[in-house]
Amino acid sequence: MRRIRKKVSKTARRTPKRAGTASTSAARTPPEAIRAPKAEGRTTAAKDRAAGTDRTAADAGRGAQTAGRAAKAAAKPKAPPKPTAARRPAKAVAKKRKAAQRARTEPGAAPIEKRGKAERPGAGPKVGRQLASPKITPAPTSPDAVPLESKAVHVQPQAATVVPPPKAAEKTTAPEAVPPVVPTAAAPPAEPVAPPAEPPKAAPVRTRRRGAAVDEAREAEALRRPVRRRTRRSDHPDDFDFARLNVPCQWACPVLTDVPDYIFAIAGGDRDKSYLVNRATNLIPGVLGHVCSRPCEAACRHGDPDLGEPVAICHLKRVAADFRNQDHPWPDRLFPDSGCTVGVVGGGPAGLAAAQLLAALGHGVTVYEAMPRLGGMLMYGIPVFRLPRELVEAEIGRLLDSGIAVKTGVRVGHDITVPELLARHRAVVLATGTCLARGLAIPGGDLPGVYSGLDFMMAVNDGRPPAVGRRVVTIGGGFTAHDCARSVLRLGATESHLCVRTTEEDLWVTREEVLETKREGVRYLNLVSSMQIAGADRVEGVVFARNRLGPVGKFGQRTPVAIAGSEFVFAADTVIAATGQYADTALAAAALGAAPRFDPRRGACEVPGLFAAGDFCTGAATVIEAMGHARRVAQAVDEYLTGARRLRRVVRVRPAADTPRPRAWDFIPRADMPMLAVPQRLAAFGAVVKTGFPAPVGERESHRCYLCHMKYEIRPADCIACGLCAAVCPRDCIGPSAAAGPGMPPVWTERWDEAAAVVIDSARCIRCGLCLRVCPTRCIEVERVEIADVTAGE
Amino acid sequence: MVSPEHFVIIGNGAAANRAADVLRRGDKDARITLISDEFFHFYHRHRLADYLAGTAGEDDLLVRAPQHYQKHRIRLRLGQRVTRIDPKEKVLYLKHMEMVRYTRLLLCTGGKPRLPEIYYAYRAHFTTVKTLADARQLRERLDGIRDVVVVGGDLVSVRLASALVRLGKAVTFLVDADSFWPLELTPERRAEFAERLTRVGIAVRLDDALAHVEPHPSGGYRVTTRAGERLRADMVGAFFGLAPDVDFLLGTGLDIDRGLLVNEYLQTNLPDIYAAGDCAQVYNPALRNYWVSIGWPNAEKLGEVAARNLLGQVQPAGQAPASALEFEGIVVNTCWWRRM
Repeated sequence: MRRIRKKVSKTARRTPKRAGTASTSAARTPPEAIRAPKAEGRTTAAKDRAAGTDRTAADAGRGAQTAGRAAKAAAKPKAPPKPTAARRPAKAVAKKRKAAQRARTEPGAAPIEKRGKAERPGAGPKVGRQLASPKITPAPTSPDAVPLESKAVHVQPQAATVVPPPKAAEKTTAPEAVPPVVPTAAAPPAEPVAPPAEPPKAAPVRTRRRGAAVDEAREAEALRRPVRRRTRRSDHPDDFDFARLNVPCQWACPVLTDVPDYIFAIAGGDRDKSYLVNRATNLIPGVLGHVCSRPCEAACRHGDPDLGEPVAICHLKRVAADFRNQDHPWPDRLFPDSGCTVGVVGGGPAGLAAAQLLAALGHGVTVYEAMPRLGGMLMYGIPVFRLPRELVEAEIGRLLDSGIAVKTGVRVGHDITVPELLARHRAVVLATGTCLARGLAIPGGDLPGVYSGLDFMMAVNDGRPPAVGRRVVTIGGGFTAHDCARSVLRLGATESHLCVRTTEEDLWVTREEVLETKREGVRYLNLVSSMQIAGADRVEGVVFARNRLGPVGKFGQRTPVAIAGSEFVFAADTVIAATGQYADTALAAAALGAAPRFDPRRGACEVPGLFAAGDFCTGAATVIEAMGHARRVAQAVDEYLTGARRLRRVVRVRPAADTPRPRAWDFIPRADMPMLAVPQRLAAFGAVVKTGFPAPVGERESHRCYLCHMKYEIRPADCIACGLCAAVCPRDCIGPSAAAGPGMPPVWTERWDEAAAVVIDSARCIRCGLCLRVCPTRCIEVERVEIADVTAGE
Repeated sequence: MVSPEHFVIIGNGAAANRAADVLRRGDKDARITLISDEFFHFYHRHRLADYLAGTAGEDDLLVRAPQHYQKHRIRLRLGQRVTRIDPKEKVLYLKHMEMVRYTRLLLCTGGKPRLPEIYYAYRAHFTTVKTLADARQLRERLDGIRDVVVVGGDLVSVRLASALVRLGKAVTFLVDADSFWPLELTPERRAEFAERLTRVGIAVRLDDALAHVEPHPSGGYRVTTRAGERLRADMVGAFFGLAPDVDFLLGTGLDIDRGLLVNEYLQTNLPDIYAAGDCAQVYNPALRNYWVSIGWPNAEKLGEVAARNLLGQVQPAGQAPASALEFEGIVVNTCWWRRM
């Protein structure tokens, strides 16, 4: 009973919102369906007796079995299954499959929804036969590239990453949603795609469950069984909760990058597709592959206790960018020209993200950038040893092809004012980031030798690094502070100390960043607060006080509390204060009389047509967070301009086949990013530290992804509660539940005769597929769940 | 009347056992439980090298007979790992899904092998010996080992290298002056150290360090030093001392920096939870800094102080000795060098 209590308590430990969500397979099933086994079994039998009819085996087979029947079925494992209407004989299925493939190869193939169930992609036997194969069939490359890209904001790639569907079938899935696509040289018009290879009819029978022989025809029939459900799009909160719990990587990404999809494309060797899936939402995958803060990896299920380390999602993004075969153009706009123009102030990640989406929505966009080059912090804030500049220029240059006009060297507030911009454009988006550094507000903070982190990095990146001396103290714990502490070692300092007010656990940066910083020789001085800069004419040191950890702050971090009487002096030649940045709100306030208050979610303010995006609105954040916010603001701008909400966020659920992951892939250790040796790093400032995964390493790393967007769900009506799935489950996530229903967590029980349903705890499931492969009734369905922004008409 | 107290001590090392003894003397009726994830009774860690060399058996490592615990009514839970602490409910969760309630908790989780960041990429190739289980595994592999490269430097590595030489292995010692632990390797100490190692037949590389390790195609490893020397090894031992073993306590609400942050009375930030031994990072007002104690006598001393405070006394952990050194921003108090 302890085990049960534990399970229940684990569920109960979740947040109320989480606990109340559709975290189980039964959660999406109507209550009557869940309770169907007993009820339906009794009522149908009674009806049969009353009518004096003899029910067919098909009816009996489709009807629900009770636990007693399950026991009987388990006791006769060798009995051949009776032919049923639902389970067509293998021959019939094979005939239909051939017909379906003929239809696919023909140009005027029928829409997928109108075909028979057995003809659907993803229901073919090839998928089932692929289960034991360690090699994934590569997904199609260039023919899918443009539709995929053009569907960046409204249509995700077809579910056929498991089995690539033909082009025609993909187009017909949501014909009204696909924008007009202009064929280009890089993405030639669709050609008939070769049908998937026909599996050999006499495929070897796999030995299943404790060596019991399985009838070949039944096996083949079961694998060919059509998926019952159809693709559906939902904006129901329960579905979003399901996605939040079960596709944690995508949910954690501020721009909702379809992480499992692009990793799976790499696993199939299709790095172009992987790049395009990335670019559809995060716009600059190569850049983010170097500097993303990786909220996805923190959420990755592979990093759960006992499951190893998270998948190297960010490094795989870079693999897709580094090893793609061609430079893909941006697709055409989603909507025709609206006649409206929008001015975007700031050419950093947020400004460019807003500009791209607004351009895709049909608006004329002009970006005003004060610096000579676009990129903002990517160009002037992040040191070159973390992010090569040619990559930034190349990806931004390609981004501008989506129809964005640029005016560099224009400083809004000096060369042109915000009211003038508002007069020139229908809407203006302020995305100038946090370009002002917080000074060190302590005595001596203005002494020579004290720099702000932002000014220091901008000077370094502009080729004007200041002299730093031998011993440098950097105060702060963010990315800028780490960049400064690492940069000074390349500028001649022999000692670099990073002084943090709390502990390394509370740092904003990634663990890998801390590791590399330490590896280069930076020393952390934790639990100290700067009280004063010591020195007469110039910096001589910093007076610190020791801290203890105080209560948890509003961002979930511990607050430091200085210990009385613990002050000490720490010698330093240079002090860099990277203690925060803030937005230049005077930009808008000077022109409008008062500082406008921007809605942090939609970026709007009391001035009609004036919006703020990214760090300018939210405060200093990461690149990906700024881009995510800017995309939301861009939608708000579009809504302001058109009066309609033309994009909506949905959860798309598609039928899918089992994942072709062998269980052995779950035990592949995480690959370490190859790094330049420390002496070589420090010898040349521009030497990029991370050298990137070689392609084979990337492919192997991609195999580690559980593909959490797959959803395994037991169909209660067909489940005989035999328990085989629970027996083979390596995560102990399948079991009998005494009560289950939509939106409620399972109530685990060990008594199978009391089970209301057998359920899969999807939030715990690692999608190994073992349950599916042993299920004698094939009552486990697989679907693919993804979050997407679609056009309103879709 | 039976005491309502249930003292639970996580750990089974010097600090934990000394604390258990003091608690029993101070409270005859309280329940005392020691929980350790190791399967062995309290043993001398510094004699693991003798065990490897075959000069000592497992029984010789035991510090005290198992009957001691029975006699003093101290419950031993061996081979049980604490995965979570709920300080609000005063409950420990064990890995095998059992709950243990406590009234007062002492954390003596000790240390785990430390690995400097510069060698983190090679962690899969390194062999460390911290527990008897590690030593058992290594002992089973010894027949297939001929060449050994030892990197880093701490007390365990010196004893282990000597033991391996006695077993006829060819040992090369890369003494990493930057990572020597827990001491600053001054020129005098370095010369003394090299002389001692050379005397027992170890090939010492004093001014060299590890640059790269990779598996050798024919088995074993290929080690490259910073000076460019290439060595072949069947085993690469990494000995950089210990780091506090507190990872499982993250998220419990306990203050953790490099170790468990405690005040001078060894009290953590949570009520009724104390820490002692290698895992504790103690604030010392006189030093104006946190410090960590390393070594058996220090652990016993801290365990005793923590136990007294658990019993209601107010006793500080004491002044940090003058010989303490600063390491990675914190003061390390060690007695190991003196014991060598």
